[in-house]
Amino acid sequence: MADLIERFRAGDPDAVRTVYREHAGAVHTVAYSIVRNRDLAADVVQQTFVKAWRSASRFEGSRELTPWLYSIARNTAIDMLRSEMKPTRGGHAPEVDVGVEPETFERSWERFEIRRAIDALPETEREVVRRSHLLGHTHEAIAEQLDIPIGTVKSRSARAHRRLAAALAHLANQGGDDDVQLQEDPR
Amino acid sequence: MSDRPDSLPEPGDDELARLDDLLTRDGVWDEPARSLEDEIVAAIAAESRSTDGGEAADVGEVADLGERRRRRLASPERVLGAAAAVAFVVAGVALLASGDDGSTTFALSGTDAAPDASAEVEVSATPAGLKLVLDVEDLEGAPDGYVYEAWVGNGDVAVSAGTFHLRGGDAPIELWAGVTDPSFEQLWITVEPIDDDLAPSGDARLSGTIEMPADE
Repeated sequence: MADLIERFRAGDPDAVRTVYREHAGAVHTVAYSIVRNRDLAADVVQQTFVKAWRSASRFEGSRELTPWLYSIARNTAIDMLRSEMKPTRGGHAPEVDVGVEPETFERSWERFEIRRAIDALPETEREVVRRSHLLGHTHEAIAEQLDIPIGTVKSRSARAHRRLAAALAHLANQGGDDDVQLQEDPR
Repeated sequence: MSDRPDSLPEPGDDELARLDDLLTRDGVWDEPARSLEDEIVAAIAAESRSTDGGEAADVGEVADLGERRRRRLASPERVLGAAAAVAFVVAGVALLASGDDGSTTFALSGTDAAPDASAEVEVSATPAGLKLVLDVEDLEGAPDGYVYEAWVGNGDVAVSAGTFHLRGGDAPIELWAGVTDPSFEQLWITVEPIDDDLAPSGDARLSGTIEMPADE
């Protein structure tokens, strides 16, 4: 990790891509949950990684990269939302700072963690989980769609659920209004 | 995440239900735009070169990246500046045909910069936006480093409908614009340098007036 951060800090394209691929999905999830617009979310993602690189010299290599990226993403998204909410048409009424009610820190962190757990699954297991939970398909249907035995679908599903349950156990008892402490990445 | 999932406890029904709730949260499966990775790598590489190994810029000064993307979108805030003003006479409506599917076909005329050029444009409203199919005649391919770009506008703002180059022949060109406002009745094709200035150049080669089909 320390080596990756060092290379990321130096702008090594491979390191930038590694950091991006590990975190882009989760950063996008947080961004979209706040700005609720795909194009603005793309802006947020882009700004997040560039800001992270710019401030990488101040990042301690021993720290977890994940919470740090999350904080940058959330702050950037909120700033973007506030900026978009302000009417800026010249010649019209003065700017009014419209109150912004972004998703709570706890909820957006939860989404971030969920997406990280999803992205950490092996691709074969992730696809089964996606079709099962997001699309609501049965195991039989998934077996047919992916042209694999139903037993394979069931075993992939079972392994994925074990991984996800372990990875997301720290979200188990958190309601929407409870304070949450940023946990160490359970992996 | 564990490399040995079989050693992990099997979740019970309650936990599976909780996982289902978490895995169906809005947006957790959404993917970022595919182009972002390359854009970010390029942006960091460019800035790294410009700082020449010195301290990177202060955090927060990334407005230009966001602005670039917003300007590329169908944003009503893309006001036609003086340099990009429609400095040519947009011909009146030249309706050629109306299709049974609600599409209409219009003619575009060459400007002074391309007096022999012409085009027929079939315009149709779809759930995804305005679909434009161009059949261009007598317009040479865009020079290296340049592209042609189609614009839909109302005299105050312009929305890009996409780019093409015509270097490979004269096949029909399919473009899209996300506008449905009937006031956007100007359609023109400009020559644009490939750079980070996304406003219309004003160097138009084809122009015409269209009547927006009814939104689906």
